[in-house]
Amino acid sequence: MSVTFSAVNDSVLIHISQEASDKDFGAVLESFNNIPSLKEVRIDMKDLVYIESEIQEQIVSIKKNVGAKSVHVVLLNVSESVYTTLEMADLLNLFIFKQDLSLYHIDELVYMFHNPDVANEISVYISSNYSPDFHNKMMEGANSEDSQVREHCILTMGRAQDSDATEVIRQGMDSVYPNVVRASILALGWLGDCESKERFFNFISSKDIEVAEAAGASISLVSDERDPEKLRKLSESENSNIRIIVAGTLSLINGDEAYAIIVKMLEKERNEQVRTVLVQRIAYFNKPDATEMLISMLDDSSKSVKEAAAAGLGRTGLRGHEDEVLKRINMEDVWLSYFAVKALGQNCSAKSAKYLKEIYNKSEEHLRLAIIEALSNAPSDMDNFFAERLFDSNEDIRKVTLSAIYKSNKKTAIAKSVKLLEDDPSWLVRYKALEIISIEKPAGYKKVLTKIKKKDNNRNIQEKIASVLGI
Amino acid sequence: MKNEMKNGKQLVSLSGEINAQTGAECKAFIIKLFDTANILVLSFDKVVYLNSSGLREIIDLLKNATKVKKELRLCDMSKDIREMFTFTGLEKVFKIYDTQAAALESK
Repeated sequence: MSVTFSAVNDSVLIHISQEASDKDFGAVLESFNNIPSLKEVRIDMKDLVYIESEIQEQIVSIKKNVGAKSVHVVLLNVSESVYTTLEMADLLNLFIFKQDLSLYHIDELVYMFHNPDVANEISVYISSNYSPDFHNKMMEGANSEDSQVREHCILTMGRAQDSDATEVIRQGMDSVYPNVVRASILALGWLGDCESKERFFNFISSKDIEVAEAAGASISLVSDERDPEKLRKLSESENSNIRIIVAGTLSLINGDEAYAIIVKMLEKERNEQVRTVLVQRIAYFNKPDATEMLISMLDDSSKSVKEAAAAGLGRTGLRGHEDEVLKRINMEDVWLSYFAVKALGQNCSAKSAKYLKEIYNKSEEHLRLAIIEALSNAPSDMDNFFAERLFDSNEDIRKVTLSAIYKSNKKTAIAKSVKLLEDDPSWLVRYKALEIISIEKPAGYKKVLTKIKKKDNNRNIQEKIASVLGI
Repeated sequence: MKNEMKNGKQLVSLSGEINAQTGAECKAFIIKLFDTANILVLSFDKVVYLNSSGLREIIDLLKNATKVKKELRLCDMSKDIREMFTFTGLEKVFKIYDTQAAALESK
């Protein structure tokens, strides 16, 4: 049969093959009368590469037949070309579209590993529903000559924590295909395969950066106390990519020895990109002197290192070193001041808030923006300070202030947004106000937006309102 | 560590540092909750530090959950914690949701 169907409880599942014709649907339509409690009709279209107009008509007639009884018609596993055809025929709103991978045969699922857009989803599905059949199929695929199939079968076994597959996965590290090698290294790391650790160390020097990164990651997952010393040697590599990978691995291993190596690396490192990564990684260590180290990195000549240090301090907190950051805010070094404010702002104390308010008027624009952001995290009430900033002639200041109000007090932000959407001269500020209203959806927001749509000619505002109101 | 039932799912809020010791404690605590719900949501909102030993415990927790057909969902990760999952490829092993609401609402 080109159209088959089966009924389970109050649902009917229909399968349509590519050879189906309109004559094949007669029994299907009749079957609906035998299920008085019918709630859902599911139509599996996985085998339709394209859809003839007569099949379209049959699907629409199914919808008409059951639609009056409020029965949902769900189209399953619709291909892109069939979806486009239905869209052109303006039929999309008649149906619900879903994917149901359980309707695919295991061979079809493995074949879909060739499609990079869905391979990951297929792998997640198989690992979530792992069974002896899936295990056998993945083992078979892990020996395939097709590198895509092999890669995804190996990743799937790793995801499923299939330790029976360890030996087969190890063989994947001998592949000539980097994607297979990388998948094998990752999967073995997830499985905690300590026996492969020496090989992981060899792969850190791989010319393929993704293989090297996977090796670093898996070393961290199977690491023991001897590994930081081996990584110290690799940290002296002339290859900056290797040094970056080593920094990542050490930060995950964590511990005193790993920390000491990272600090040493930072002292010697001259490459700006690697220095930035090292500063980022220092913040991953729960150590009091990591905070001091990060504060000192605010003085670095590189803007990206300063930025990483400020972000890191947001993570570690200032641990009693607030004054050292405050004293770095001066009007001579703009970027030092800017990132010092950023560092303070993420855990803004009352003391910092008071100081930042005092220096606001003496600061240049970038610093003012950073101060407003910082004060959104202040423990004390900033309503008056923010209210004044909404009258600033600079549109960026008004926009950032509205964001800060939204972060600190949603109710006030909604009221201010309605007002600004109505009369702020800058579309950027009005757009920010519109975003807040569309997220919070206060009472009467549709009426407000409808009114604004009639009078605001800005194209971005018009499009955003249309999307919010669904018009 | 705190837990509560929400939306038919067991929500466990982790906090502080997850290392070998705290990770093992978390694992033991969460395994005991397997009988209470089919889906367990682990919120990382208050987790500041995580190392590879902690990650190993979370992987082991997933292994235990899979054995008894329970689903483990992770959510509310800071950019840095998420980066650790990305670096190790584990973001593709776990079901990770941006927010607690998304993890609790998803079927």
